[in-house]
Amino acid sequence: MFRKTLSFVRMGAQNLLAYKFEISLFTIISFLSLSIYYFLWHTIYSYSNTTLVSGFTFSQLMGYYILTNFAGAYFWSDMDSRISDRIRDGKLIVDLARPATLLKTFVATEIGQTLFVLAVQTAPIIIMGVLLFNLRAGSLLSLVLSIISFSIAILLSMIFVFFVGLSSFWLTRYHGVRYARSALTWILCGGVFPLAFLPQFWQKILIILPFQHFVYTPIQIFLGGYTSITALELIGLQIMWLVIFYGLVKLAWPRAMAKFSAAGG
Amino acid sequence: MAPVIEVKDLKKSFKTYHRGAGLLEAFKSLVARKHKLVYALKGVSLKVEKGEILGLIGPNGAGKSTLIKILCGVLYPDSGSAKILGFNPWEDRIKYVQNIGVVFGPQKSQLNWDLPAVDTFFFIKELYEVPSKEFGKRLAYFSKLLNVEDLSKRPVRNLSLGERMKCDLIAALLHNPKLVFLDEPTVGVDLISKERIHEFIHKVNKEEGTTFIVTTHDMSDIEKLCKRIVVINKGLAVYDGPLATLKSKFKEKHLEIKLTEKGKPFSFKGCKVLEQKDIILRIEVNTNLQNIEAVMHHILSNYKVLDITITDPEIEEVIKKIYRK
Repeated sequence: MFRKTLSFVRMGAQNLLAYKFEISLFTIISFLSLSIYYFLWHTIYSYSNTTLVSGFTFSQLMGYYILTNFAGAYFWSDMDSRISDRIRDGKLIVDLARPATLLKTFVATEIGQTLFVLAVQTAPIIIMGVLLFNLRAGSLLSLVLSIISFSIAILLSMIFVFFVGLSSFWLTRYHGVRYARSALTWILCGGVFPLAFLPQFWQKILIILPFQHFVYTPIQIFLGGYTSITALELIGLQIMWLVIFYGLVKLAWPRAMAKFSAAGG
Repeated sequence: MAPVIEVKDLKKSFKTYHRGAGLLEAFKSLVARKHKLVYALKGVSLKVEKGEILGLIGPNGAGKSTLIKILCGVLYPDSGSAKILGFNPWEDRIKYVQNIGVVFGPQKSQLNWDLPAVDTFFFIKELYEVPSKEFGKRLAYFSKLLNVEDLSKRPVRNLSLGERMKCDLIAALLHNPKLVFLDEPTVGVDLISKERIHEFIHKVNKEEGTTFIVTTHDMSDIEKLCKRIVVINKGLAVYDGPLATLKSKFKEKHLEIKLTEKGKPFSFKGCKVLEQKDIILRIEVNTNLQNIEAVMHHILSNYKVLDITITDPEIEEVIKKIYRK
């Protein structure tokens, strides 16, 4: 059972190894986007002559952005596009002819890729954060809790992407949904700025939605933004959303399969 | 022993959308889409025994691939029942596909495009939990049979179509499946490789008792591999039986006559002139309407004959006739 899952994970990592250039390119782009945030916020902090914005010092905020970069490695998944492409050209039948659920096939492969990206592409950025911006976990406990929370977040965000990707069984062209999915949720999950910057009203709305648990929750736990009790509650919520999305996938799958017509010869 | 495959009355329809050509029609279809149901399978029943190599033939759009996909468990039928290796393929898909091997033709390779084929082979070993010893033995044996020992270490994108096909064939058989579906396994494959593939299938079939279902447009596949064929046309199985019977069902004989000099135009009851040019005369005799002897007599008494050959029609001709029905 576990061996099967592992075989997909390994294949995912091997896939990425074939694209060495692309990986180094993404590391460079990550540095670029981080330096844009650096200059933007540097200007804001010095212009408003303040050391704290919504409780963040400048270097804490840079630490936050470095961690969103880390989260981006699993959040910016193109798994749903791959599902849609394989439906369009009919290659999905090759995946379906293998002894595994489609969820496992895609999520496990994606995890393999992500672990590889985290290790190779994101590591230099994290090291930069530690050296330049004094990026540290809030405490040893928050480090441990954040590792748990990040692990769940990886799984949660992948099941979410898979779930949204299932809509391509009904749509002729999926790419619109994909852009909406990634752009919108990236803001809602705290990828563009910490959700603490939002007015109370919006924060209250976001708390009942799943999105912040993809990125914001584990980052804030790492940075020590929560008491351990709150952190554990949030991890509980993450698990709840994991179960909900898993249930939704199980519910949608037979309907998707009934819709599937295995295009092209 | 229970048959490997037993399917009854499989039906499958697809919804397709229709619109005329042009921009205006495209806008119209935004408001009101006309759809039409296309019946790909209209009730196909099939029984296959263990160790058979069954040929599945039919013109484009006849429903062959749809049938294969349903039999592989990757497509739900509208109605009908199936018991394959004791499973219902679409309901027990995951447990069922553990026991089968599939090659879905050249466009739907299961090999990973950017990696060498061996990587996919090792992936399959883990996925199907093939014991290391058995895996090594099978891989070495198959690679030798198909002559791909060096190929499988090059990235798949650098392989030719035929080379990829051979690697796909190996990938489908590594986990020792009891039943193997091959959807057009010899498209784009050169003659020598084709022979190798035929030999390979025969060998595996004989040594391991593997049942094969092969769809093809290549009649040499049929003649080399299959004792029994099923012809699918317009969603129905229009013929199911031995290849030899199919041939003898058609009572036409071909006569090719070489004359010493040009003769008058040929015409005789129950005969059709296929070609008459200078000293060559080719005719088809329908033996239900006319016996060969009378035709020969007519020819010999009206023409100066150098040579006569009588042949059965080619398998291609036979198939064409069924398709046209």
